[in-house]
Amino acid sequence: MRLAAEARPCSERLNALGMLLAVGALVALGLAWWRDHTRAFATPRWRDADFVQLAAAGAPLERERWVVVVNLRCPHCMAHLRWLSGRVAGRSRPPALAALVVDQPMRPRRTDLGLPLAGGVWWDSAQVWREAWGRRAYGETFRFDARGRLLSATPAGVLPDSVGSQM
Amino acid sequence: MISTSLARDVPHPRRSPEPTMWALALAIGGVWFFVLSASSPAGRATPAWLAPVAGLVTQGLFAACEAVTAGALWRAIGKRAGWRSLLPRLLVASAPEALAVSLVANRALWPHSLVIGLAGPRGLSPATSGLGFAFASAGALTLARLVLSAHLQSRAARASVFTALAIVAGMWLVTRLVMWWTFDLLEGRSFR
Repeated sequence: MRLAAEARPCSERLNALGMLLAVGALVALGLAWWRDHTRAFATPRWRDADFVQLAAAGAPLERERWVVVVNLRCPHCMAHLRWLSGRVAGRSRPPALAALVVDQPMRPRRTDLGLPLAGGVWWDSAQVWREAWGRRAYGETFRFDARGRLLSATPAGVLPDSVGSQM
Repeated sequence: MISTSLARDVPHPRRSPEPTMWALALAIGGVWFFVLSASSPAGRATPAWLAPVAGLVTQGLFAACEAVTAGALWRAIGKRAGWRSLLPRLLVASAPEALAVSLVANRALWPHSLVIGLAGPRGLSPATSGLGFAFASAGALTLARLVLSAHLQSRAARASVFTALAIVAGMWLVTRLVMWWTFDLLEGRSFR
């Protein structure tokens, strides 16, 4: 009887501690989310100097540059890049398709992505895409005009100029 | 000579509902197995039984965690409902959810609005935002699951169904918040 009476407050204390930990974890997660959402990010803008060129681009661009965000270990980004390359290949004035390699702490050894990219292959060594632009989704395609101004940003699987302006 | 004896009215022992609950929970587990088997995509390299078994084990683990948490909440408000008695009830209450998953897997066979109304927006397209992801299952069948769970838990804890509903709905909302915030924070860090 006494043992049971002693055991009960102990289990209740454990219960209260568990509750406290759960509430603490929820509050911490909420704070992290709130902090992340209230951060102001810059509008993406293409400047060659912000990135490291891994594979040469074609002649100076007087046309749109479509930049696909690629993580080299992400199969769906590479599939999207290949799909996009096939979709623009037949155009009379195709945009310059480029790949931006992100979340790669070391300079990638692989510079040839196995398809022609008139816009070149670039490495985001300074984490501009994640830290300055605040973007996260791999495979996203940024459409920039010849001056590097953002026209749209669309998720993987979407032909960028087939939809209205999506930021 | 008249002899008298005291006759005691011994109450008939009540049958415990536990075996029935476990039998029902096992039956619902079987239903889940068939639903998960039917909704796993074909043409995978892994054996066909692996996905439903993994799904069933995950379902069981989640139900066990939910039972432990609900048990702790009941204890916090001074009621006794052990996780062992809550677990089969939570598995039984997941029956409407099995129907929702089956509806989504066979959405081509049913009117679009019916699927969304019953199973929630998950029947429409994959969620692209944390909020959409968290509330993708918010439909009539989820509501049915919450009400059924509250009813079964209130009987196990001998408490009012409103208290049980507050606990069940509160837990559901908190898990939605966790899903919403986690999705937003992790977005892009997976190779989805």
